[in-house]
Amino acid sequence: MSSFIQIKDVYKSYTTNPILNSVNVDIQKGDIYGFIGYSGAGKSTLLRLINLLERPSSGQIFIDNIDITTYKGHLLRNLRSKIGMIFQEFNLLTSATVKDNIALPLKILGKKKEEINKTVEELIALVHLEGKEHCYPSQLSGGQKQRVGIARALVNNPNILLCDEATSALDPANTKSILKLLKNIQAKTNITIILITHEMDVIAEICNKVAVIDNGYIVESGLVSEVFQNPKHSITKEFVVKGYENKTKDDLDLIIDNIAGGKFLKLHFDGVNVKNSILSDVILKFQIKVNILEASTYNAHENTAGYMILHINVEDNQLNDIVNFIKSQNIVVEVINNESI
Amino acid sequence: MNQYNKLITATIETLYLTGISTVFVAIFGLILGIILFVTSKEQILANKTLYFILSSFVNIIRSIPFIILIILLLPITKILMGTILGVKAAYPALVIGISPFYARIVETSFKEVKKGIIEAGKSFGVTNLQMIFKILIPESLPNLVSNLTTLAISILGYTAMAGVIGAGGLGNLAYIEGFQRNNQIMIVLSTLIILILVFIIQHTGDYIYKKIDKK
Repeated sequence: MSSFIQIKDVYKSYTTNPILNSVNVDIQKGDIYGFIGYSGAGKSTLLRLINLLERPSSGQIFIDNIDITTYKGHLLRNLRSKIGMIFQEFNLLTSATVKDNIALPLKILGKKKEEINKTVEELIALVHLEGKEHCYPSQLSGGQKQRVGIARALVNNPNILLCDEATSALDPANTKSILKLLKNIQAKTNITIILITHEMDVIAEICNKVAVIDNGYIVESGLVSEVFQNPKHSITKEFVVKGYENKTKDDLDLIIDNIAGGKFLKLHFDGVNVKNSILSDVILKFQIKVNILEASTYNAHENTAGYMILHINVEDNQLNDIVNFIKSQNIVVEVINNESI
Repeated sequence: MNQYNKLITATIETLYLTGISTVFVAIFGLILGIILFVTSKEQILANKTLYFILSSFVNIIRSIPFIILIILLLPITKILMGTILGVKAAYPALVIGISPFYARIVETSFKEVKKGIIEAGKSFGVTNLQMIFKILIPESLPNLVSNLTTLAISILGYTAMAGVIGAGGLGNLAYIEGFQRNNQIMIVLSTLIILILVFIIQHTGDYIYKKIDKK
């Protein structure tokens, strides 16, 4: 089966340093395909190849088996009008209302007023912005602005949606609701979504496929479940660890909020001391009860590392003794409270 | 003609000079500014030679003191207006002298529009003209208005200067009636009216700015 979008042997450089190197990607219709990488890895350039905001120095890009890299002028504008794009900084017109921002792509195409009004109304309902039609972007929250961005991107009924770090400027709650919205839209319309991010959570939340990009190379790709169950490349492993830490952070917030009194300690292990029996030493030495709230080890860079979060009921002076004892065992320890976790 | 009639006539002349010149400066400045912007580096119609020529022209005109520019432009004024005397003769110098200022402001205002907004426009397939008229001008409109207000006040000042070489208006009145005939009241009254006009222009400009600024 041939792919809906195929990026073939793409190489891109501005000067001598290549931004992208022999990139090959196959994306099927209805995929939510995520590219993950650190800033400067080339993911932003890669995303912009698909609507030719960036042109490859060599290689081809096929959409529906047609090479688009030769497109110019009218053909190019037609192509772009059928590919929606949303941005980290939303990029809405500050001078236009929500309604006019969403309507802009249709006005550009010279659609009739009644048709524009009808479509814009539908999209405002789709992104849950009823009642905000006449607000200006400066009157909206970040999450609402991105909803306007999504509505604008979808207004001409595109079959591809490009998301450029669409949730990176948003807080966790808004990130969740925007991702949920994108997922719903995909399920409803079978649109193909391609996104770039540096956050593992985003990939885990909505993507079915992922490609890890590092230094202009795609180092690993495939189904999200497979790639992150069994990460092979060191960069992939780093992202998996980070994603895991973020997730436990959220879970822990809930637990700690529900415990009154006592102290919380976070112990960090690395490869050397992970095998020591520090916990039993503490219990025996100080004759206290220790409650393990959270503990984890993971493999990163061929090293075993881990952390443990403890809840203990002690006075301040004894806490100091305990902390000093743990430190004397060459373990990094921090006293945490509900706010700092 | 009594003195008050002279004052009223001069005020009307000044209003005409300022108003009409401002309109033409807005039009020519916008056109020249758009050309400057689109031909500048990395823009849609980047053209080094054209940009250099236009940019140099703008810089040269901006550097010539206005009173000298009036004299330099006399031959052109003669061709355009058929005379080098009276109110009419002041227009070419005012428009040619001030438009380059506005052109530079337009260029700078467009450059201040967020790159992301321009990219978003490209992403839904705007043409070059749509980019200018649907995105760049609306996005920089508050800036364009507030700068035009400042320029209108400069133009008002320049009309007074043009008045000295016979272009009519309050400057002319203050010079001939006030200075040459030593009529102090005329000088004070002319100044007072000019001050009132400055206030009116500034407040109107501020009002429009507040209405259209949505940032």
